[in-house]
Amino acid sequence: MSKFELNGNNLDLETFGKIINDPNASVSISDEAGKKISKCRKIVDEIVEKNITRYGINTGFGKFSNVIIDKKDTIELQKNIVLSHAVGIGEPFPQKIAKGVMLLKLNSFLQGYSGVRFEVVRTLISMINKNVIPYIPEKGSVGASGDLAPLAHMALAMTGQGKAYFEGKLMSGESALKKAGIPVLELRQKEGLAILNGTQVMTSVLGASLLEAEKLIKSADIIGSLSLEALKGSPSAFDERIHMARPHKGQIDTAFNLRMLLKGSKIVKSHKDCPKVQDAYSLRCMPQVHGAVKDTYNHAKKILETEMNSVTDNPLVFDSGNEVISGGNFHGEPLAFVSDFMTIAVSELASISERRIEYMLDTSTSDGLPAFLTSKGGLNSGFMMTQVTAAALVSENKVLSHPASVDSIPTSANKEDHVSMGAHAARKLYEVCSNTNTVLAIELLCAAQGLDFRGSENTSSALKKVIKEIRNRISFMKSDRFIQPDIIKAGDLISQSKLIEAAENSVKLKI
Amino acid sequence: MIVISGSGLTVEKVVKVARFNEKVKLHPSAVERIKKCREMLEKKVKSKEIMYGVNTGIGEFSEVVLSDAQVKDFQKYLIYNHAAGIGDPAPIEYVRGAMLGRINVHAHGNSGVRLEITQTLVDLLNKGVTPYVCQKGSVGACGDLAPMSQIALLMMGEGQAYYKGKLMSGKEAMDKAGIPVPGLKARDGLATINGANVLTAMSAIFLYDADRWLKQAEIAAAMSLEALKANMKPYTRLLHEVRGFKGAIRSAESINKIVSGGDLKEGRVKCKVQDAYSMRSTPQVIGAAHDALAYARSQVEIELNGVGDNPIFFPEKDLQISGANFQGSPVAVPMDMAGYCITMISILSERRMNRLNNPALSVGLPAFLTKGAGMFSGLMLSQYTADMLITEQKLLSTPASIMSIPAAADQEDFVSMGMNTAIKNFQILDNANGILGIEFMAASQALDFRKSEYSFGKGTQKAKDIVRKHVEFLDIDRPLYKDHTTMKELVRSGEILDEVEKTVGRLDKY
Repeated sequence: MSKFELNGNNLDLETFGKIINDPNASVSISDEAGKKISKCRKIVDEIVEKNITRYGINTGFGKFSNVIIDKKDTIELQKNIVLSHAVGIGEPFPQKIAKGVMLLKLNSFLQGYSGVRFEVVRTLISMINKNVIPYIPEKGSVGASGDLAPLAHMALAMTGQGKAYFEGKLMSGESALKKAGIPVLELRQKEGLAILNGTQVMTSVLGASLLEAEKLIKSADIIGSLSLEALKGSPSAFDERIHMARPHKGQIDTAFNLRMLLKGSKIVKSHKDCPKVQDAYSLRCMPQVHGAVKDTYNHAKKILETEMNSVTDNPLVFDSGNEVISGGNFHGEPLAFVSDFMTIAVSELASISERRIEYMLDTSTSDGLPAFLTSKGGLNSGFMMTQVTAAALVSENKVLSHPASVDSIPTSANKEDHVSMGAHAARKLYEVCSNTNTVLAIELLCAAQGLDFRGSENTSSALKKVIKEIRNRISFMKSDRFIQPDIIKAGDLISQSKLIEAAENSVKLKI
Repeated sequence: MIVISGSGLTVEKVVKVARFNEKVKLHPSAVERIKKCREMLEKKVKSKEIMYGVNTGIGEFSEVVLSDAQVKDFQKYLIYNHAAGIGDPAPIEYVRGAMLGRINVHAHGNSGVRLEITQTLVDLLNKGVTPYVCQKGSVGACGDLAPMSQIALLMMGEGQAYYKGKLMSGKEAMDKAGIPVPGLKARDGLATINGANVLTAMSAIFLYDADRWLKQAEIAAAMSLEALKANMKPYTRLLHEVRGFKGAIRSAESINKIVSGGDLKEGRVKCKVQDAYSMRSTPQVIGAAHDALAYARSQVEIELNGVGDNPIFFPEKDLQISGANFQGSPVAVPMDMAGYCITMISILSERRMNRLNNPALSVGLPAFLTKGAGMFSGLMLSQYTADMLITEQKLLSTPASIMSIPAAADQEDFVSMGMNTAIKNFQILDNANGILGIEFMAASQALDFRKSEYSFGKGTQKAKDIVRKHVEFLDIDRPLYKDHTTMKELVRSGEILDEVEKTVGRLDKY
């Protein structure tokens, strides 16, 4: 059982991935964080006691922020905000993403600026550790003030309302807590707002997407190398000197990955003096294109990891001077931008992959491979239709690459008159990652088939291990068969990191 | 001479007046209606009935009631504060089209405007005085307020105008042309500006040009099909009749006319059982654009003949009603579609041009249509130019009609953005002329390689002859930008289309 101690500043993408993907992962918080939380809550209690007007503690919300709430109603106020804001709609988020939302909310409370009681933090820890996962509909956030609607659904589960999953089953929030032995939380002043206000949903979706994207990016180098071999392409365009002359880090790293993956190939040697001087861009420019994707990924990751360790609710409570300050840390623009940008990058990974697929299927470009990679073409159609699937997905990706962040619709009677649409941006990214997984899976199938026609025993030692991993699960296609299960298996090889592990027996891939 | 009566205004008539300076006059019945409506309005003004934009402020200020003394000055300030456009002037033909549309609105006798105002618009058209109007500034509701206000400035002898090719003050232009300044009285200002007339006129002109462009796309397709030894069976009329789309039948028959008489059409050239989609589905795709444009035209022509104004006066019923007939959406929505149809057909053109260039697909044509491969690169780079233009078109094909931004303190909180549609449609079409020019050039080059082998259809041969009048066969490489630009201008001029139609008959009759 893996254990993680959080302190509000030490969450990174890797840890995030380990916790959301492992039902046995267990989290705790540092003593110092516990102290900060208690200290901060005291300030809130004092404000309540002295009846000082402060936003969200004894006022209404949004446009109603100028309405003063009577002291005796301040607890009902918190109940009401959860009920009125639970307006999400649509399919529920995958459980790992919903778990990520709780984890991120927990981490944001640990800096001690949100003014919640220790009981709130304890409820989140228990739910994470016992895998009580709130049912959160995926639509309804405009990405400022944070992800109000979906977080309200999480708050429902925490307070024994709404719905939650426990041991894989969907049930009422109340029975999920009861079965897991977690006391039902009752919200006090400020706590409803502190839970609802923040960017944890879009951050979790972006985090889950980047975890997928990392696998896609590394796998694309491996799969692109296989295609290059199947097409008798030349690795000379990956010469280090070329890339040092244009020193984008991602480009240099990709060229390195490709050189290492192809090292020792007899196929490369066999056509060293062939009349082809230059390969098509989809092969030759892999360092430039895959590399730009890597740079984008690293930029997005940096923004994400900053956000993971941020306090994004509002208002914030500072013990220096007992101040409650209203700001706009809930605004999702930083995440919206990188989600949109990352969507474009992952789309491009699929787009260039589809070109390599086409290159292997078309006899005018495939350098002697049989048409559509099948013997007895005509009777068999081989991989003809897989390119159609890839084209459909690449086109869908293009539409999904329209930026969400440039849109904004004013809400809350124009009080919230510019919003980020970051939740939508992140959800599109997640979908584009899924489409791209399939496109790369199709390229993987075609490349393995092509390489087998070429004689895969002659490829590099790194790629031989990759081919072996593929062929353990998916056999060479001698004649037409139901291909869709092969596509799914190939997609699993990518998403379960099997392909990467096989290649990394020989070379540690850079990203 | 075109007689304006409030009905019967078509896309073609707009182009005749806007582009080719045909004269106009008001039908006597229209004059009667305008007068009658004005009488009612003046009665209501006297009896101090509250009427939006006559004796109230406008937009968010519509609850502010104006005194008698303020009513006239209000029209002046209304025009001043609405003349809020920016940037380069709109082409003269857009402004003329907008004035024509406005006259046709007034001709219904529901606007309450003085006859002098309408008559001044008629005089401006007939005497060739065109107000200087900034292209940008309208959100397409309440109509095209900003650009129409620059027209209205002339009603007060202000603003600027073109006369005999020169830009001068509005007063000077009117004096020189002998047009009296009518001034603006109650309601006159708002009645001049409150309609989507500029974007509607632009849309009408666009539809006229786009239809001619689509016909040329069929000519270019026919040339490429002949050069690629296409199977012509998919163009059989029966095939399209059983599916029933009019546009597809029209397009198939158009292509049949162009290729008829050639060896390929007569079955004397060996071809494949099935060609690629960019060849085989030409009638279905161009046909879809014909159908879309036909729908857009029907909407634009309704708007051209409707009362796009606010408020609206009904003298028979002694009634005035405030509504929102200025909202540009009925035009903006089909015009977004019309614009991206041109992008779609440009994409099809580029794919055929690719087939002509790519030796794996071109059935024996030399790679990149050059005989000296390696030393020469032929038309390799022409494709890059086309591709760049298409990507720009794709970006421009995002619909503007979904882009509303609330204006006027949320009183005008949904607007059509139809002006953005109209502007970008012309940008799409400008690129489309370039793309099609490149296909014409590539197809002519390819046909020259084929001409010793078999003969071409009458339309194809004619089109190639016209191309060769302007651009020579590419024997050895030369700078291509001049040829590209010449070809683009040739497509814009429509010379190929006019000559082909003289040879084989009209391409839209089937």
